[in-house]
Amino acid sequence: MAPDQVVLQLTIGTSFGLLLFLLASGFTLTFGLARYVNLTHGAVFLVAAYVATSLAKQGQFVLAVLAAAGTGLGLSMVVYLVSRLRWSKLGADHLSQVLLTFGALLVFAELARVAWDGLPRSLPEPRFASGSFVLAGVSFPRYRLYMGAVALVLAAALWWLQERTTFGALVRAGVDDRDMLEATGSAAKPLFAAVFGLSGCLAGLAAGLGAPVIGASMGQEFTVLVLAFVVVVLGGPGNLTGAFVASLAVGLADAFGKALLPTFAEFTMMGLVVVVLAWRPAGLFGAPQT
Amino acid sequence: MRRHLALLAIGIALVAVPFATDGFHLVLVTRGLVWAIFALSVWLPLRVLNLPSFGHAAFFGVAAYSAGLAVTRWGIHNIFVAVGVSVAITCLVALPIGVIASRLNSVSFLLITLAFAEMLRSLALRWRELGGSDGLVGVIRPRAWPLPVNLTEPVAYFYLTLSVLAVCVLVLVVLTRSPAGGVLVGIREGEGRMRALGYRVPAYKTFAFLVSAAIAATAGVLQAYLNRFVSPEELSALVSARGLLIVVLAGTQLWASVAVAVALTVGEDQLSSQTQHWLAVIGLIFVVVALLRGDDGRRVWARLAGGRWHRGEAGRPAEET
Amino acid sequence: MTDALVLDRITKRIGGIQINREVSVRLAPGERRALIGPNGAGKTTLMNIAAGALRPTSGRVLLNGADVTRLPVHRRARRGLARTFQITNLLPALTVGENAALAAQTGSWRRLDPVRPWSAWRSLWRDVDELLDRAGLAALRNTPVGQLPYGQQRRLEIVVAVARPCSVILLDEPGAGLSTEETEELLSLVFGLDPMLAVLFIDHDVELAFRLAHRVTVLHLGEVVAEGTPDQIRGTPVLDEIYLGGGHRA
Repeated sequence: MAPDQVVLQLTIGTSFGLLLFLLASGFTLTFGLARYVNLTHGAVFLVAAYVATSLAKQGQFVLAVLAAAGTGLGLSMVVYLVSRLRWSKLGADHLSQVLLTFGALLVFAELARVAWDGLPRSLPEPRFASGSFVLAGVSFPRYRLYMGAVALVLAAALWWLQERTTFGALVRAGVDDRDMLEATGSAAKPLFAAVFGLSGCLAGLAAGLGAPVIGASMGQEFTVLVLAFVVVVLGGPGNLTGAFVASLAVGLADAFGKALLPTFAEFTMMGLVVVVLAWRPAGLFGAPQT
Repeated sequence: MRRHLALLAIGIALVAVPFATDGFHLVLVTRGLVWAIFALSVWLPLRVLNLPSFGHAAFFGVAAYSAGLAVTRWGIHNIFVAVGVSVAITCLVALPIGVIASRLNSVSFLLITLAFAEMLRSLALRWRELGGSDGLVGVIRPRAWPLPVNLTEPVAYFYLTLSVLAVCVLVLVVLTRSPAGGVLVGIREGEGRMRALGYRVPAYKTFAFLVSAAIAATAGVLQAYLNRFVSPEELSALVSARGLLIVVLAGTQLWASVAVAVALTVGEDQLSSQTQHWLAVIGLIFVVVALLRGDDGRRVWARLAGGRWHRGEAGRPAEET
Repeated sequence: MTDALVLDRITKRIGGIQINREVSVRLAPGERRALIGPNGAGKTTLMNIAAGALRPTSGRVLLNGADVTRLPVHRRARRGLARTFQITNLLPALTVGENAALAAQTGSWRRLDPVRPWSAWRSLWRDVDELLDRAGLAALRNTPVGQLPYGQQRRLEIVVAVARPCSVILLDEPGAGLSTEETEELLSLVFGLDPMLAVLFIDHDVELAFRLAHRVTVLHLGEVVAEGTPDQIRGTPVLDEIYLGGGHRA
């Protein structure tokens, strides 16, 4: 592989990995705090992506991204509110969570198919970050860099939120000691709602930011979900730092896999998963779950 | 006693199906039986080990493709050989997944099995050799030598599927009543205790995983020859979810899975002919089931497949719960 | 004769905290050793290290002369090391007989059998009946463990632990949750099993420990501060020194 190709794939892989982090972090937070496996996350991404592509006029890019974020927030809250109808079961039993969120995924995906005729759509790159520029003989796509930078800023904001704010402290405490959180009673509900909302918002942002590059198409609810799962398991469920490292690893594996073995790109991913889990079943940073 | 009568009634009803239905519905019920076999494969890790697998579509699909390739590319013309080859290939794929998954906690297990199945589906969509998104076409039903039947006839194929279902049920009943089955239940009830007693827990989990993969594979082969076609959708999460749904609705009893599977298949067919948004309706069914699920009592789970292991009660089925 | 169990200069540090420091204990076959000391002395940690649930920071564990320091729990179990837990670790949804059977069958290849019915394994259930008889639990064979009163669960736990031939048994607070009489009954059950069985037990009842043990090891703040026969220890001021208030805890 030629050096400029390598650099290109590195860029693509890293920027995609950062985007993936936004998506996976939401999932890992919901799981880490509320012990809730939210399969609908993929469909939330899908619908948000389609919403973003609906605002395809020039000058509407920021609006498109914000609309996607809002969609993500709304849909996640719907899932949360429906779950609250029987939280005694859904708050604790993973199988029920899986059934409910998978069902919601099917419903949302069908909504998307009806609303947008099941056709793939795309969002044009915003004028301020389009085209490519050449540096040291290598051609870099401008938008990818922009996307990666924004995702990185958001990731940093998320880190700050988790490490430096009261909200973050509550989340971290809740992740470490669920029983203590439950003992505080009333504090848990709004916290869970906030985490659901935040995760949906992040998924929407990822969809909106990613729209110029990966667009919106039926089937994303699964492909994107799978990558998020791989990140979560490799990084250790509930662990943001782990998710960050794993996202980059997965993003790079995805990029290089697709470049080197277009048909068998999946094997690179599966290989990565097998190798990491064989070495560390609890994930790279995961503490063994008691 | 009541249970035995119910089983007998279902058995008779199933055997009599070809005499009571037309060709189209016969194929539909056959399809329901294939799903019943698939549900059995999901039943094993879920009810015996409390491990919900969302990736059994992988085994279903890999076996379906193997079965398809067997007749179209590899020159295999006998169904028993095709089953053997497909199950063997599927178990080879299942082995590394099983070894790794046995060491994961139940949520990671769920996520990773789903991820693997989806990755295989993406692969199937893209791989030209397998037909890509069009799937594998021209899959003809192989011969059934030494049985003197012609599998291209729907009735013959129905009875074949029914027989395979009976064999799989038998395998599971025998397994759960055996010492190994007892160990699996012990692992479900107290993994730490079993380790302290000297049991190699991951090995047992992998074994159960392989058995369930083999059963899923058998269903996959039957599906391929039933439809005479293999689509990448056989590897999709919907397939795995359907398996879970059937097992959840059927509760802990094996035989109930058969009834639910057939009912669900017929229902789905009706639904898809009524509305093009049937997927959304299925989704709503999932949501409703999740919200309305009863508490499968622990007490119930301890009595598997109607068997108690005590010397004095060997073979006597458990009371209805 | 080789010692049944040797803990050789066991040291355990977690983070910056020293839990055990150079603790050595030698158990001869058939010896009954009581491990006493105030809370925080490191007794349960020592027991976990002996069992294999924890690795020592330094030091060795020898079982019948063989170095088992690196072996995991299930391997030590197979070599004849049995243990019970402070909190009962039985399988509550299964019956008394089934719990005992799972323990009793570990030595036989037939436990891997995926075909013949478990109930048809007559020799196993005969052994189970024998075990339960000896512990006085035969009548409860078909009762789910979750429904047993606590004292009987503790008895069952002993039964399960010794279902397979073992040369050493570790009892972590066998009397937790039981009255003195019940504890003594339980310990007598253990001692009556096999004269060659080496027993290491932790108990907070010092008088009971003195009554039943051959030798006593006294731990304080992670170190051995005294060791000897009950009479030897009784005469020294060490117990008064380490237990608060000058008197031993009952």
